[in-house]
Amino acid sequence: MKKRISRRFIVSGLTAVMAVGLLTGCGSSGKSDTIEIGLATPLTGASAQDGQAIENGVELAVKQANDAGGIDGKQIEVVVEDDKGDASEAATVANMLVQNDNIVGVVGHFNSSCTLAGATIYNDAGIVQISPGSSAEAVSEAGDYTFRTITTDAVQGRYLAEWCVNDLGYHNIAVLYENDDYGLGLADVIQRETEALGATVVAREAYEVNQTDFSTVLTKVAASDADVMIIGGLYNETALIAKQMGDNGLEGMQIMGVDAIYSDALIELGGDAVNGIKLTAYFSDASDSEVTQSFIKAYTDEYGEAPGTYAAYAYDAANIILDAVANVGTDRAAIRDYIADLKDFDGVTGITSFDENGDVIKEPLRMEIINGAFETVDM
Amino acid sequence: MMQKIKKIKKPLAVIGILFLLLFPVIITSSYYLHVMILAGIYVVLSLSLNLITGYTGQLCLGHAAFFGIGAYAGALLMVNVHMNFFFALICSFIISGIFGLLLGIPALRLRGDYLAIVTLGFGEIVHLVFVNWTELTNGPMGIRSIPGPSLFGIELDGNQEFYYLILIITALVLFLLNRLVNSGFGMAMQTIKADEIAAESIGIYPVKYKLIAFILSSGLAGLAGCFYASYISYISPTTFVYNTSVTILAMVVLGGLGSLTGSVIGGVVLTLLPEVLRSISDYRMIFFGALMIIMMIFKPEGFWGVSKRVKNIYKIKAGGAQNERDYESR
Repeated sequence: MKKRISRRFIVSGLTAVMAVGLLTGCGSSGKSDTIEIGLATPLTGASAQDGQAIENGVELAVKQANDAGGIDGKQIEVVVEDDKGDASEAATVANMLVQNDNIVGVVGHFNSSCTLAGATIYNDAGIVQISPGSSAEAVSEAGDYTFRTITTDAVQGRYLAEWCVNDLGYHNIAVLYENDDYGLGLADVIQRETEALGATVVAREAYEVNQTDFSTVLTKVAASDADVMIIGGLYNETALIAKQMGDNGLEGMQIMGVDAIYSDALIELGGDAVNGIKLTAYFSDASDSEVTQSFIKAYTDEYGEAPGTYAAYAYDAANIILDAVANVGTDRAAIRDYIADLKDFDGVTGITSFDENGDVIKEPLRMEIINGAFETVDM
Repeated sequence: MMQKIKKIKKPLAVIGILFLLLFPVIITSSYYLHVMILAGIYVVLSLSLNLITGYTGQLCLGHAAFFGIGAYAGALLMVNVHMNFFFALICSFIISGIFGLLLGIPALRLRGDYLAIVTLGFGEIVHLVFVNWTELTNGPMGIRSIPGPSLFGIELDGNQEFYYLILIITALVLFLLNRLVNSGFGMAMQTIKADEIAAESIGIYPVKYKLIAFILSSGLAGLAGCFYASYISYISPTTFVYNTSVTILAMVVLGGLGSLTGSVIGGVVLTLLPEVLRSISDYRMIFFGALMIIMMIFKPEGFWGVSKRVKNIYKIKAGGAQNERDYESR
């Protein structure tokens, strides 16, 4: 008998919890005195670290706007939702955010799959979505209300190819890439663009994320007559590749990469081996832009650590939405039109404009690791 | 107790059905509709897994693979061949079923843990095929712009339409499975679950029943996958991973092994609960896990376990052993 009561207790407890949840969920619509910005980012799961950086970037932008008196005397709030880096979860949080009438725009999502899953919902609802981290080409066609502050792999790949083939004169190219949507997309772009400039891709090898032994792929590169190695992947693997090159007969070969390898962790993990790596980047503390430097200072003061690339992209995304609201008010369609026409917005990741697909146009910095530090270079 | 429940059962059912039918009219929020649609998809998935795991007693850890095969089959047919959603739904049922058959023939000769490992491996293989067969599946980039259903030229791609569609699909699946598990075929399945050797000794050939249950189960998961693809309009391999298989299994176990009502409850509760707990953000997964542990300690047979279902013409209690006293007391 006792057992049965406790069972019933638990069942009714569960029911009560759900009822309360539904009620509180219902109470959040209707106009009020605050302006809200939606933020959909992975706070749990594999991308949680980047997701957290994105949240920090957005919170900082909003805090600065509030400290400056808000917009039209109204304070701004961030509504944070966790999409777990999962597409169906992303659709859920997107549906949740578009229901809130106070939300003027959404910063999100991080993973391209999530951005695409959410895009349908944001576009149907007519609410601006700015992704700080989805660089896949498919996002271009996601809809009129979908923007991003990160450039496509195509733009950066094209720029890197020009630098590599035209300016540095490499013609036999090895492409190493991680075997996922990001790496594969980037490898395709690099192959297409370098071949368009008359170079030949002599080796094209995939590796798995979290792989630690690269001798198989590196031996294959050594067997080809490549004179430069372009990496379509992240910093962990790049550091390991740089370290293992010597053992596989590739001493002194030039490594090039895009901003995905721009991280202090690359230098920490790679040590001396990563010196001389050339890469493109949009956000760097070596940048001489005033906006960038003051962002780095404010971020470091607030969180006690230097901002990463995604924090910077997110900061820009939030500021673009805030700028739109300050100029055209809280009408969602007006905000969309304003952002679509935005020209030369001075962001921390460069001078930003959008093309007709909502893709960002900005020129990357050329960087090289010199004596264990990222430096901007001309060649 | 039983009498009381019986008396209010009918009006309760009527209220429940009315509520489900009128839900999109009363609550127009696309968020609530979306959660209900997801719940519907998961109910179909957990019902289908229950058929093989709950009723036939074969532990399967790769259900997401069939969900994925159905989703990809449906998506590719709708995007590349411009097949109508409803035909694609049937095709993905058949295609998933065929894969169920192909896996089932060798795998179902294994028992218990070994079958679990084989299905687990199958799930991983299917996921890797989705990732690496770029020409067909577009690899990790996934498939975009999957069209919604349309019937005689009328587009049915709003949330309300999807809601009613999944409601109809769920009702149909529930109706069919209910007929199935209460038929002689269902009895045979449950006999196999209780004791395979005993089943063989009275002339039930286990492989046949296990195989048919497996095909049906994977086919229905494929059906849910096709609906999912059309509803979300974008699929990528990340959805069809081991984690999803475990979530579906948790719905089946939490709801009650060998109980259709249980699967419905399990599917709905495990979809709604994380949403309800969203307000406590960072702690929600901890809370969610704790609730599941509490549930398993106090109610190991699930929400709608064996003791809730006692009716069948031979007074045989389906779904496994249960002590007589518990039965009498209800």
